[in-house]
Amino acid sequence: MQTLTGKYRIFSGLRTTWPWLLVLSALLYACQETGNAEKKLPSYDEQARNAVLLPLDSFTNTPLIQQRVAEIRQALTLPIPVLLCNDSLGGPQQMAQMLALRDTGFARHLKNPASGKPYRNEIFGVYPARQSDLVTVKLPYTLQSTYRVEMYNYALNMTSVAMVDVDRQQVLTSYIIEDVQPDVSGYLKDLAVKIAVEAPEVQQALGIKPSEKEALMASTKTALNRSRCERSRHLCVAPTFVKGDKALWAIIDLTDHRLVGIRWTTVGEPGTAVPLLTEKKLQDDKITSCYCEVEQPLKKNSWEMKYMLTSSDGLRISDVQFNGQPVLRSAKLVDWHVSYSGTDGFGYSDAVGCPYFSQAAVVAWEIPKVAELRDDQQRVIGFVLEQTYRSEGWPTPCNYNYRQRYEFYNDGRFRVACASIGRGCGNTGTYRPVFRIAFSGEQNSFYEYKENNWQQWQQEQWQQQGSLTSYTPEGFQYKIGSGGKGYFIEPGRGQFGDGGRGDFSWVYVTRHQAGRDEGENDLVTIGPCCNTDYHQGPDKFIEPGPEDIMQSSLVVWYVAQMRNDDRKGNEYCWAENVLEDGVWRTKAYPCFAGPMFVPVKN
Amino acid sequence: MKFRFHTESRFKSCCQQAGILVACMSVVIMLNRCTGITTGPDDFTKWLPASIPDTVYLDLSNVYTRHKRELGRYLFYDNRLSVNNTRSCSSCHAQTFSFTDSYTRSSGAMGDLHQRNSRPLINLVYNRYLTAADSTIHFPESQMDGPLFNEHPPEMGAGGHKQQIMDRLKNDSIYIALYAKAYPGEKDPVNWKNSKLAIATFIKTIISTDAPYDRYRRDSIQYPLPAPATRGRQLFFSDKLKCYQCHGGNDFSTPLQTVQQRQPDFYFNTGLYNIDGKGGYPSYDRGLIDLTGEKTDEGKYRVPVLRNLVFTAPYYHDGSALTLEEVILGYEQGGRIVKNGPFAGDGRINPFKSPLVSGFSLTDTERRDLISFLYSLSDSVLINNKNYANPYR
Amino acid sequence: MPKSKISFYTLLMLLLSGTCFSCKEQEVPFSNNVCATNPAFVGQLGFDPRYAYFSTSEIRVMGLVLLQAGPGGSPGTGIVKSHQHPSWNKAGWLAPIQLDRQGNIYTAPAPFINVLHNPAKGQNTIWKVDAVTGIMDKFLELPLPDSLSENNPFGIIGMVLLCETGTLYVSTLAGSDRYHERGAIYAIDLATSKIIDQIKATDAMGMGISYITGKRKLYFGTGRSSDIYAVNLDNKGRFSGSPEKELSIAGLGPGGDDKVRRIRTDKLGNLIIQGMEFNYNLIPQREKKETAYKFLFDASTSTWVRQ
Repeated sequence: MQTLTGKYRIFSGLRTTWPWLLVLSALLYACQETGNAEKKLPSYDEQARNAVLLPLDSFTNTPLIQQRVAEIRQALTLPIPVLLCNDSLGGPQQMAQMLALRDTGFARHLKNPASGKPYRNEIFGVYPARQSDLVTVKLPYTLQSTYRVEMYNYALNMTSVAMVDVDRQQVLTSYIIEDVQPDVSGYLKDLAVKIAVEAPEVQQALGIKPSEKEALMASTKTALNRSRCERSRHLCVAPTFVKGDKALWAIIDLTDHRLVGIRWTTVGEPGTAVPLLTEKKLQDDKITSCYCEVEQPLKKNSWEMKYMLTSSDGLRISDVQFNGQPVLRSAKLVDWHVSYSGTDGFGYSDAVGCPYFSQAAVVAWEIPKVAELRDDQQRVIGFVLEQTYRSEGWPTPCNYNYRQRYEFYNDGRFRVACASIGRGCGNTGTYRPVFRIAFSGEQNSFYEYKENNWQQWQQEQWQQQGSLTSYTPEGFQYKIGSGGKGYFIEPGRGQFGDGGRGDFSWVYVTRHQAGRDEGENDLVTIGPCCNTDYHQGPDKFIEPGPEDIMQSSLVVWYVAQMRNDDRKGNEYCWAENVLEDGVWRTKAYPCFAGPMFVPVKN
Repeated sequence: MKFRFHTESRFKSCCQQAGILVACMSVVIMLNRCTGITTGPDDFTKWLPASIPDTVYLDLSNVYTRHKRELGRYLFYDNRLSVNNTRSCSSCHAQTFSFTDSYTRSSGAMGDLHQRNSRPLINLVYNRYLTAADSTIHFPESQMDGPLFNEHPPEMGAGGHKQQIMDRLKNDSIYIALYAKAYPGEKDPVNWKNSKLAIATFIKTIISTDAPYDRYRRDSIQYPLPAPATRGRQLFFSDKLKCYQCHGGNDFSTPLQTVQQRQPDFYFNTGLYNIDGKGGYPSYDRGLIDLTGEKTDEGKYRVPVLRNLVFTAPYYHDGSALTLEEVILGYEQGGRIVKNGPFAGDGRINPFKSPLVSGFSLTDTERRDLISFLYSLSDSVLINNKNYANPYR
Repeated sequence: MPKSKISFYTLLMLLLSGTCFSCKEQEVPFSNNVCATNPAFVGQLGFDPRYAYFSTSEIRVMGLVLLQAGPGGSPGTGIVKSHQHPSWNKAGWLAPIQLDRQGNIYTAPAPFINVLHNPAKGQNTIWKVDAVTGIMDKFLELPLPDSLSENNPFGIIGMVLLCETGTLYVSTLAGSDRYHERGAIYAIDLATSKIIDQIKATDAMGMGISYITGKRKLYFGTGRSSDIYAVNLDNKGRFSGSPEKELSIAGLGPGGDDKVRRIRTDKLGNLIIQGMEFNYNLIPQREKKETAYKFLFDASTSTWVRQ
C-alpha cells in the first residue's frame, strides 16, 4: 500500500509493498541537453525545456511550513474546524467571520458527512461589501456594516461566501461556489512568496536569492479566480520575478506548501494579457518538449540507453547496453487492456503516452523519474527509470493511473514492469498490460523450461503461465540468447517484493525482420479490451503462419494479467481517497507485474 | 443612570448598589467606581467605562499600576510560563475568541484535557463569582493558582517547576526591566507572587462594553437595534421566557434575586445531564458538588456571562453545545435530552434541576430573534483592542 | 473527441417556434441547423419522434444509435428503446451529426479512447444515413494530407449545415502535428456532393453560423488556441474573404486554455460556446470539464461581450 497525494510518495509511512527493495528518489530535474536534436525548437519550447518540475512528493520542511502545518492541524481539532483569516482584520471583520461560521449555509461543508472528519476550510478574506454583492438580498441591511466573507474548502475545491451585516448580527445571504477559489489572503500570499524565495530552484534560476519584495503575485485578481493548479485541484498561486525582458514564474502549491515548478516566460508588452501558466501547462509542455520530441540518453552505473515518451507505447527504452554489450534494441508498453467481468465485454484499450498530439488515453503526468534502487541494507543495487500516467480525475471511478518501470541492477539483471493503481470503472476489472521487448542480436534462440530441461521453440508461438508451469529452482521459465550468453526470464509470481501477486502471463515470441514493421515503430492499439484468451494483439504477428525463430532477431511480448480487488485489507490495483489533514489524499494499492531478466552465466 | 425601558429597569444602578459589602476576606473591599478613588496614569478606574453602573470587585491588596499591568500583559502571552514552553494563558484565552479558545474543552501543556470549556476573561471585576463551580474564588489573584499549578490535570504544568520557570524570566533582559518597573525597590522582584499579581492586574483591565446593545443602551436613537434583535430583546426580558431572571446585570450573568450576592443564587442546575436518572453528571465534572459535597449541588454551575457569544462557541461549562440553537432548545424543552453515548439521559427530569428551567415554546423566527439579540451583546472592538494584544507580535 | 446528441424533440420545438425552412438571409435563424427534419425511418421503426434522438456518444455502443428517452423526453431521463442499423457501426466510433431538410444524417468517424476501430485513413470520410432506408454509407472522402501525422489521431471533428444553401461545413484536423497546422474547413454542396470551397491550414473544431453582425458568418474555434474566428459566407455558401479573429475564451475555464468544442446561437444570433480542454490526444471527453460561455454582440461597439 502506498499513500499518494495524487502523487507518488516513495517513503510514505503507509507504504507496505517494498519489504526488501527501497527506492531513493533522484529526479532528473531538467531536460538533459542531448545535442542531437535535429529540430530547431522555437523559443516557447526552449522555455518549456528549461522549466523545472519538482517531484510531486517533494515538500519543504522549513520552520515556517512546520508552523503552518501545526496551525492547520490545530484548527482541524476545533469544534468549528476552520482556519480563521490570518490577515489583520478589524473588529467588525472578525465578527463577520464568526457570524458567517454560525450560518448553516456558509458552514455546510466543514466536515465529511460520512466520516465526520473535518475538511480543511480557511477564511481567505473579509471585505467590505459592494452594492453588487447584495442585489439578491431581501433583508434590510446597512452597506457600511456589511462584509463579504469568503472561505475556501481545500478538500472539495469550493468557496463559501457569506454577506454579513455586523450591526444587525445577521448573515444576509450565503452560498457555495464549486470549483472556484477565492482570492488568497495576504497571509497566504506572503507564505507563497516566502516559499518561492527560499526555494533553491528559484535562487538558482535567478542567480541570486531574491527579496520578497521582488515577487509579483501574478494570480491576484479582484474577483473570484482560478487556481494555477487545476490539475491536482490544489490551491496554487504564481509569484513571478521579473528579470530584464523575462519573468520567472514560480508556481506554489498552497495546499501542500511546496514549489510545483518554475519556468521562464518572455514579458509581454505593457497592457498585454498575463500569460496563463498553470501546473498542467508547466508539466505538459516540459514533458512534450523534453521527452516526446527527443530521445534522452541515460548512462548510469554500467548501463547505457536512450529513452523517450511515445505517442501511444509509453516510455520506450532503446539501444540498451550493459558493460558496453548490447542487451535490448528496445522495450515499451504497447497497450493496457482493461476488461470488466460480468459486463458483457465492457472495457477499454488504453494507450499511454505523451500529453500532446498522441494516441494516448492516459497521458504522462510527470517527467520520467530516475531513482536508485537500494536493498534493505541501504546498499545501492541498481536504479529505476519510471514513468507515471494518469487520468485527471483519478482516483474517482473510471479514471486510471498506470506506472511503467524499468529496473536495472548492477549485476546485469533488469526488469520490465508496470503497475495499475486503479481505480477504473469497477471492482471486477482485469488489467492486461502488453509489453514489447526486442532483444539485441541476430542469432538469438528462445527456450522454455519444461520437463526439467530447456526446450527450444522452433517457431513463433505463445504460452500462458499457469498452475502447471515448470520453473527452474531459481524460478526461471524461459531463456533467450545465443552461444551460451543471454538471459533467463523469470515471470512474476509475487516474488519481487513489490506487492505483485503473480503475472499469469502470456509470452509470445516473434521474429523481427528489418524492413518489416511489427511494432518497432509506434504501435496503434494492438488489441481489444476484453479478450480473455491469448488474443491480446501480439498473436496477429504469429498467426496464421508462424515463422521460424531459431537463431534470429527476436521480440518477446509479455502480457500480464492483474485482477483488481477492493475488499478491505485485500486491495489490489485499487485506490481510494482518505481525508488527511483536512484534504483528500489517495491511498493507493498498486498491482505490479513484469518479468525479471537474469543474465545467463557461463 | 436611567433606563428607557422597564425591562432594563431590572438592572441595578450603580448608586443603588454602592455600599454593599462582601466580607468574606478581610483584605477584600468592594470598590464602587461611583465613589472615585484616584486619578492619574495609575488610576485603575480609567479602564472602567462610565456607562457601566455595576459594582466593581477588586482585591485592593494588589495595587494597580500601569507598569504592573504591562508586565502582566507580557506574562499573559508568554509560553515560557508553562513547563514545556508550549502554553501561555492566551492559549486558552485568546483575544480573537473573546479570551476563550474555541475548543470544546481546553487542553493543557501536556495534552491533558481540562474538564471545562474555557471561560471568557472579560469584565472580571464586575463579577463576584469567577469560576464555573468554585464559589470561593472572587478575584483573579486567587484564581490563578489553578491553571498555573494544577496537576490533575496539569494546565500550565508549572507545579514542581516553579524555580525553573522563574529562572527563564530572570535571564530575559526585557523581563528584568519590566519587573523592576512594576515592583520598584524590590531586591528580587522576579518571583511567582509578583507574576501572578501582574497577570491578575492585566486581566482585570479586560473590559468589554462596546457591543451593539451597549451602544443602543447608551444612545438608542443613534444606535437603534435592528428589528430581529429588538424582538429578541423583548423575548429575553419577557415573562414567557424570563431569561433575565438568571442572566441579569451588566454581563447578563447576575441572577435577579441575588440582592445579597449569595453563593447559592449564582449556581444552577439547568438539566444538562441526567445520566443515571438520579441527577448524575459526567464523573469528571459534577459541578458545585465537587466543592461542597452536597448532593443537591450536583450539576450546579455558575450562570455564564452572555457577552460576546459570537466569539465564544462552543457553549456550556463543558462546551457540549456547538450552537446557540442547541442551547436555546435545551431551555425550550426544560432541560436537555442526551440521546446517545455514555452521557445519555433526560435532563428535563433531573431532580436537582432549577425550577426556573421549566420550558417554553418558540417559533423558529422567535428563536432566530432571540439569537440575534444575544449576538448583539458581542463586542467586536474588544477583539482588536491593542491594549489587550499580544506584545510579542 | 466530442460526440453529439440531437433530439428530435428539440428540433421540433425549434421548428414550432417560428423558424422557416426557407429562411432568407435577412431573417434571423434560431439555430445553426434549423431545417433538420425527422428521418422517415424513425417513425417506421416505431420510435416516438418527440422523445427519440440520435447519439454517437454512448460509451457501450460504437457508431450511431437511435434512442428513445423516457417520459419527459430529454436525453438522460432513461432509455426506453434503442436501435442500431447494422451499417451504423462500420465506420468505427463517430462524432458529429447533422441532419438535412430531407432527414438524411451526416456523420464522421472520430476515435474514442483508442484508434482500434478508427484507422487514420478513414478519418476524413463523411458518412450519410439515408433518410428513408436508414442505411449508412460513405458520402464523401475529403482529401487526406500527403503525410498523416502518426501522433494525431483526429480527422473530421466538426460539422454544421447552412440551411439556405444546403451547404455542409466540415472541419478536419487530419495531418496536423505540433508544428504544422494542416487542418481544413470544407464547404460541401449537399445537392451535388461536391466541395465548393475550403480554408486550408486551419485546425477548426466547433463551428456555428450567425447573422447577428449583419453578415452571414461561419464562426469557428481551433484546436490551437482559445480564439474564435469568423469568415463571411456568400449567397452560395462559399467563403468570402479571410477568417478574422472576433473573440476569445482564453483565460476562461478550468485551465484557462479551453478550445471551442461547439458553437450554438440563441434566437438573436448571440454565441453560446462550449469550451473544453483539447490537446490532440485521446483522453476521454468524460474526464474533461466542459464550460459554456455566452457572448452577446454589442452592435453599438461591434464587439462581443461575455455574459
